[in-house]
Amino acid sequence: MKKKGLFIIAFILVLGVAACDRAENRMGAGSAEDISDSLIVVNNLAETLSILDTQGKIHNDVQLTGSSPNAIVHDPPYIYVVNSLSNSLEVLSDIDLSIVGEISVGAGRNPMQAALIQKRMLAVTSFLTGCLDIVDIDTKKVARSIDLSGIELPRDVPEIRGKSYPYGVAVNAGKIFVTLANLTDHYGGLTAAGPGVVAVIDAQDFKIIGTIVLEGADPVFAQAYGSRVIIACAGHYEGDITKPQSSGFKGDGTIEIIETDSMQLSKSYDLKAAPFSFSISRDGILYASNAMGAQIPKINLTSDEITFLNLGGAYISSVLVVGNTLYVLDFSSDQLFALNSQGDIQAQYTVGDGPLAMLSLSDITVEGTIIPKLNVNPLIASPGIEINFDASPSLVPDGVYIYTWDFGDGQSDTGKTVKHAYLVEGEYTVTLTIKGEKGEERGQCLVKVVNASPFATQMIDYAPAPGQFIHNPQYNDPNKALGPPVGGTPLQPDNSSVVSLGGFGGSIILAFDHEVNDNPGAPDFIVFGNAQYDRAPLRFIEPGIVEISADGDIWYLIPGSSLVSFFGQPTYRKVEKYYPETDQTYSTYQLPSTIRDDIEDNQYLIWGYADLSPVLALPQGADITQFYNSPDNPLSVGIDPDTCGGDAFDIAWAVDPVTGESAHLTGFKFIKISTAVDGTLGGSLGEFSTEVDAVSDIDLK
Amino acid sequence: MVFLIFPTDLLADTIYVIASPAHEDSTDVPEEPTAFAQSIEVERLAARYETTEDVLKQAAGSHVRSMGGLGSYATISLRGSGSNQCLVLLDGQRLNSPSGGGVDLSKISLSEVERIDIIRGSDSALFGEGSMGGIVNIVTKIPEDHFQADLAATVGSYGTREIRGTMSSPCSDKLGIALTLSERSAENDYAFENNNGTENDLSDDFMDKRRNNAFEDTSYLAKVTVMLNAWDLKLSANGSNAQKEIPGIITFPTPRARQDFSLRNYNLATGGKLGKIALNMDFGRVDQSDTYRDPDAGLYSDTETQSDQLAFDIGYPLGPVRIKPGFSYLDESMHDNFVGHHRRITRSGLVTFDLNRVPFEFVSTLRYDDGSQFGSQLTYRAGVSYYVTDWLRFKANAGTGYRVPSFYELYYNHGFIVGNQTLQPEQSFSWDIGPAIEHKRFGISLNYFDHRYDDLIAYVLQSGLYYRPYNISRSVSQGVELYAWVEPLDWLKISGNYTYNRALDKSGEPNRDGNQIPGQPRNIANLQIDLNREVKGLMLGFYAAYNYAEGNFITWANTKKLDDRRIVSLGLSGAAGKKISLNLEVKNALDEHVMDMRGFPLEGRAYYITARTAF
Repeated sequence: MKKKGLFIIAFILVLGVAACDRAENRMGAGSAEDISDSLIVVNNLAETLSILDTQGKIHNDVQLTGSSPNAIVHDPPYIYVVNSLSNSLEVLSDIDLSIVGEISVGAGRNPMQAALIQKRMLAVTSFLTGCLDIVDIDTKKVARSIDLSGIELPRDVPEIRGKSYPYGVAVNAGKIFVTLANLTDHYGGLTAAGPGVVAVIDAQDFKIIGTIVLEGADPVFAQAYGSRVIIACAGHYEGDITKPQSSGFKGDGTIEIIETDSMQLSKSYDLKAAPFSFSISRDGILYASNAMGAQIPKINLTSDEITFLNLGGAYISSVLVVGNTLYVLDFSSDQLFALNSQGDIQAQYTVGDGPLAMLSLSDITVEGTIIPKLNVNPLIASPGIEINFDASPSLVPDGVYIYTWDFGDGQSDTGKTVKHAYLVEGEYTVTLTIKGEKGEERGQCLVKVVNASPFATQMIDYAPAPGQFIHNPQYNDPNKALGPPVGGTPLQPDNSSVVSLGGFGGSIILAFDHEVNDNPGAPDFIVFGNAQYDRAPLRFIEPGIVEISADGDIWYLIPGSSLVSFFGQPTYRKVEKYYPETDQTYSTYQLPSTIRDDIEDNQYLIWGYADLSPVLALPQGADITQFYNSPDNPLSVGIDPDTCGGDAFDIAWAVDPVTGESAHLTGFKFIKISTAVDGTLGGSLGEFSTEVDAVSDIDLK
Repeated sequence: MVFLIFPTDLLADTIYVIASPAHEDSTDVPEEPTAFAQSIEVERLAARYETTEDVLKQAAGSHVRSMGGLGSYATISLRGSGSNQCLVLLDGQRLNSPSGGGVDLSKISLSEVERIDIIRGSDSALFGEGSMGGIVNIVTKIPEDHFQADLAATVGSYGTREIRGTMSSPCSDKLGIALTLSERSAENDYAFENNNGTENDLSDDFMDKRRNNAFEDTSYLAKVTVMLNAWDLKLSANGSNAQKEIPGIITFPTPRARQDFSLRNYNLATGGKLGKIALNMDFGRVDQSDTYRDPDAGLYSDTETQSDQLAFDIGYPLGPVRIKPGFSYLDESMHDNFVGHHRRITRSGLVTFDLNRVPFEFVSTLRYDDGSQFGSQLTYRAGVSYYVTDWLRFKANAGTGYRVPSFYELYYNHGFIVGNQTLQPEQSFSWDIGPAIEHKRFGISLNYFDHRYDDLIAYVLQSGLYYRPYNISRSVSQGVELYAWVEPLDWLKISGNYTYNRALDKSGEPNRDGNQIPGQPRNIANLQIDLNREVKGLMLGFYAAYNYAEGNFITWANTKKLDDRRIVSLGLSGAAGKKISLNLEVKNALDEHVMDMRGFPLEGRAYYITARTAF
């Protein structure tokens, strides 16, 4: 793997290390005073992310495509960035920060903040339209828009009526809490016309089930905390709103607590500050940001004591507690501070222009949340085939956990990784339960058992050559090549189910549970990778050689276009490469390191290899086996309509690698794919390494 | 060459030196560097359909940014300055509003323009505050020595319509009159690529149309010149009324926003000689009103400004030396529904010292301004030109400039912006030097320039999430301007210019210091080929123009950039004698979708037909 997400590739290793560190922290190896948890900072003016890596180094050049990013939300394995000027959500991988997708919420909406309703479903406040938008990440659509503009708002003075501007949002116990900034433009700019209001919406049917009038004005942030939802109100502006004059915040902001069940305001803390966000430590200390700068409010939620940390600065835009470290952003000076619990500065970094929000990649463990994540391969198998069940990607706080798998056929097992074979065809709901000292969480997935799977069901051998991704757990699980692929868009592959073969010669051998037969004159099987394609020459490919075998012993080669001369004579040769770092020798057929990617006579000069064409996402409502067996024409430009992408092959192409003569194969059961290019793109872009997502039998739909 | 009743415009002659363009009958890239200024003769562009902003867009060292389409807000910056740091004059009268901001060039219909003079460099000694990057003086048409009238009509893409008429006539040997009237309108409903706010996701992109972007205006000019023995008198009135729909930015459209604008300029100038002493006096008034309404956002603004200007100077020659002391009085006021009523007066004294002894020429001015708000400012300028041979010369200029804070910067107090009444003027210093080669068949001019801008007013985030301006920033702009033309055959001319502008922020702020200033392309180039040949009594013409501008950075951190602009325009013209001509043009022939400012797409390919008849 190399150039998918070129601009962030330099951080892949950094964040890879971060992921390992998180794992260590969960095992108790991390120090409570450690400030080296990787941290993501959203830079509103530069429209970038800054990364504080585990080595304490700051990286400021992770580019966002959207404009004026405001907020950031973690939904493993994704991160969502709310872009308020481009009216979009940017979806990034939380492993390598590659951009997985972008979702438009529509012109003129000015999205402010977002909260997860459930996995892949976000509640997004639409500041200018007075609505709460429900965004479905999978369909990339605003599934629903709830109009909050009709909610009655209290007034400070009778003659000036405010308008609802949805700002903060939090989800707790099946309810969505939306803060409505009750603002007026009476004197040109927007300022509070009265106390803020919180609208409560049922997270199932999205009906408004209540409203809560707050004590403070301009509520701008909400966060769930146990059985409560806590609101930050920035407060009023100075002066008389009936007169056209402005001089900034008055300093009457509040932090207010709402009981989720009763939907009642239970407490309000008056601050001489203008808080725009807050973060709560494990021992119940709330730290708030302050648009009036200088002082960081600190509230002991148990004793109700309010104190302040003096830091200076004009606009403390965000605070975040990670372990015992308080991270603070100063919007004006572009500084990130790391403070200890006494408020002493432990470290200071210059981040990007206009830092506004933060996300710690370990914040989930800080909040004590268990998020089960199932890695099951293959998801479609035949009876008797052993399926791999892996709970490693799950997110859990420090501690000891029991992983229990209910396979849905009356059988169960315990362990983070287990294997199981079904005996009877059918659809089985697999339930993973992760149980710890503080509770348990369940996750599910569906396994399909059919007579013969159209996808490879067994991983026979995985021999990755050295490469920058083969030690990354996200990309070195060969079982991910089993079962169906997970597609993306031509420009944005989904890398969640690929396995990297590493550099030149690295290989994988997969097997079907049946013989894949030759259908004369038509493609017979598809290999799915993670190539990207826009238009020539914007095509990012990492070709892999494909060999097939009926018995796993005698192998026949698919000679692609570059391995056949102009006169149709074979030019391929087997090449061996020795890697001193691993003291191993890998052999495969080699392609030139300078890959020709021209288009001539409306055909690719390169065809007949794996990982050349992008894989498309499964359309909504489509049958996964039908869709991923609709082959793209391997000789035509682009991805044909109504096909799934990937690289289709005809068994008849196979030749005897010694003689070059046609193998006259009628079918095969085993397939070997190996990285065919020996070379790098230089620098941090890394080597050419073929990735494999899946292999399918076209005729077995 | 057009013969003028007076050697050149009265005011232009009295205040600063504009050398005559070397090839003013040509139709090349309108850029003819002279020793101290450049002059663009608009008449030579008459066959084309151009706007004031189009013409200035092709001048070296300048960068014009438009929000898109005929009549859309367009401003100029020179040598890395902000648009509010360029002084734009109409017949010597200031168009820069005391309320602040740059001058909207789309206000000026090109039909009433005789020529445009550009002085690049800090030059407040000439016209006072505001000229930190340079000066653009738009000179309106002047009466000819014979009857001349023409009527032209243009129809074009996106509902563009324009009809313009001009008449110029001597009424007697002492009296001349010039009249122009034009009406322009456009729907500006051009298509653009809307990425739906998702730059990399091509699946939701669609072709959109610019909506609520129509424009119409009417402009007029009436000018009378009287010659009474040794005394000249000029009386002129011109103005325009414009109604614009304001479409907003792509991601935040304003479907019902409107802007109404009017400009009135009255001018009385007289000059003559008393023995060896030359006297000049000029009085002018510029009234501007600007209203903006967006009912959806509840926004309404109404600004009226008035500038009265009186200038008087006495020129006294002493052989090759001319000494010219002068005095000027400037009274500026504004009434605004947000900011209220404000007024300021500036009294100025200046002295110009010129030495012209071939092959050497030297010009200099020292100016003292006494403002009612900001006290005194002393500025100077000096320029030298030396002909090494009759075809090679070297020229150099140096000068200082300043800009006083606008009424908005001082007094605005709404929403997130609060003015600062302790602001002081911004300051600048610039110098440039370079050779020029002028030959019958070719010419080359090269300038190296260096501008320093100091005490720049920047909005600083304050406690309480509001911004306030302070004199805290600095910037520097260094670069090269190259102009070249070649005329290998009588009917063929190739001309072009290139500007390299390293405009860097020097604010000292992290993420900004040392970065290219947003909105300032580092590389700009224009190239044009003109063919003009008479075939069987028919004058046929063809031109091809190429405009390149490197994409602007749109973030101060230089993390994002607009696409480069590569615009090709083509035109064909045919004229039967001097009476009738027809012109066909394709602007942006390659249909490039570009923008000068984020969220404001510009037009794609557009066709224009212009018919013109002269009487």
